[in-house]
Amino acid sequence: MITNIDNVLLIKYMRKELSESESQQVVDWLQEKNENKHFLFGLKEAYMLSRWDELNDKAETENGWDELKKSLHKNQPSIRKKYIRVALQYAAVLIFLFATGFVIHNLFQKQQPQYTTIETASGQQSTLTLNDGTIVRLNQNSKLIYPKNFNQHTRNVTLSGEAFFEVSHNENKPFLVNVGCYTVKVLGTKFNVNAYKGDIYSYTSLKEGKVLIVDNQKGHKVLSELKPGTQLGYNRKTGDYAVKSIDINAIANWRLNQIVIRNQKLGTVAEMLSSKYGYTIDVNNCKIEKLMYNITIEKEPLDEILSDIQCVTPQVHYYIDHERKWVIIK
Amino acid sequence: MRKTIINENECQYNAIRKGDLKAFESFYLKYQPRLFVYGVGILNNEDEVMDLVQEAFISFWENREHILSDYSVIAYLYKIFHSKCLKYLRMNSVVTEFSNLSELKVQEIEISYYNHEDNLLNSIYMHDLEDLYDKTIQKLPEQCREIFMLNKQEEMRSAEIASKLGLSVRTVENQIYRAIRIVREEMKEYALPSAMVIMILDIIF
Repeated sequence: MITNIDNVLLIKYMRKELSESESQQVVDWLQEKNENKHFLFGLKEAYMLSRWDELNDKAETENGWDELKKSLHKNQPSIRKKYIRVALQYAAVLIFLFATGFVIHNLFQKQQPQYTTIETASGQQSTLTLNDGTIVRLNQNSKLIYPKNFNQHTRNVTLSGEAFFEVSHNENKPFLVNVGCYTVKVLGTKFNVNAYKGDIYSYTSLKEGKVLIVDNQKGHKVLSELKPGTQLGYNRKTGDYAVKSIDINAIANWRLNQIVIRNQKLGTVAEMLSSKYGYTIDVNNCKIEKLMYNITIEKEPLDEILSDIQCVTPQVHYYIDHERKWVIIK
Repeated sequence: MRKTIINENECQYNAIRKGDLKAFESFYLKYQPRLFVYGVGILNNEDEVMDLVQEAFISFWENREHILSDYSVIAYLYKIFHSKCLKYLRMNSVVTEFSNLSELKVQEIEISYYNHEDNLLNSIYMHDLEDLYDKTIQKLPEQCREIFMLNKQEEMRSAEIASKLGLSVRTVENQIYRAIRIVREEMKEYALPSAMVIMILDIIF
């Protein structure tokens, strides 16, 4: 005997009309019993058999064979190779453009100094190595401007957005990151700068070594000297700033495409999940609001995170509605 | 009768193994539409299914020396197709940023169901659908024929169809089991010895 299920779901399944949450119901039902599978797939076979006439026409078998034969004859055993050929065509165009760019670039090179701009779109990250060996990892929506060759005295770059720097050590040539309102001055360290144009606050966080924060406006005064594991927050509107201790791994973990949640209450966790997955998340129980979590998220789906939360703290129950992008935790 | 069918098939597979394009052609003409119908049942996109079917036949041809005897040959073709479908589904779910995970789960369950050789060999997809189609439609009980008409009722909402069928799942269940039994009875003529498991697949994929 199969277990009970709404007929409508089965019919929708065969006609491929299931919504996301209905699909989940069918998945759960299928996993309950093997008989359910035999039943539904048997039903589907009957349904597909009924479509035989219609689909047999659509299969265009004769045409398919002609095409297959052609690709076998051309000694191109795989359709994939077609894609590769298309990709090669694009590559050729790109190489041509690069080459042209390079020639033009060289033509103008006599005008000093030469700057290069790297920009990342949203969702995109980029790593580059500057010619002094410094490694810069740019986060999304960021822009880095740097000279093709650094001058003899300093290494100047300009950043808007977020980047993690691993500056190669050179005592004689300080590395300067200009973020508009202030400049981060270092000799050789690892640090993260978060200075998006639209944001009021910008942050500089130090992982190793020593950095100086130098004001761009008031006569290049040294605002602060950061120690490892500290962060300077700067208010662009008022010019106020403050230094506090932070968990540098949590700050710079965007590099690994991770979200790291350390010792946060459920309420905060819900907010972070909400902004990552774009779901509305309501916590409807003050008893569980104060539970603390450590979570590292890479690419797991929201369901998995929620079920993990339920696994470590069984008193937490959740309901997820994929259609309305809504989660209730209680 | 059955014996001759099998012998014919064996000849065909031997020929394919040796690279006989004519033999491969008749094999393609017979199984391409079945694989297509099967694929359309699982995936949503008919164009995509068409490409995946082609790719499966191409891999099949490229690996023809690995073909063992008899009906495992077809199971082998379906397994190639399965792995192509799974690859496609997973790629697709990355592209759509996992927006339809449950749908993916249903599809994966269905594929793994048919990856099980017994289920595949007992399914309609292994048999002469033209014959089956005609024979079963005559023999089906009334309510089962309604299932057959499902796809002809495009404008009708699923709920309406369900209520038109007007039955509880339990009643339908019995009817469907009868229908499946009838379909399977019809297929008995073509019933085949259970196939060998193809170890080579693990090497290729």
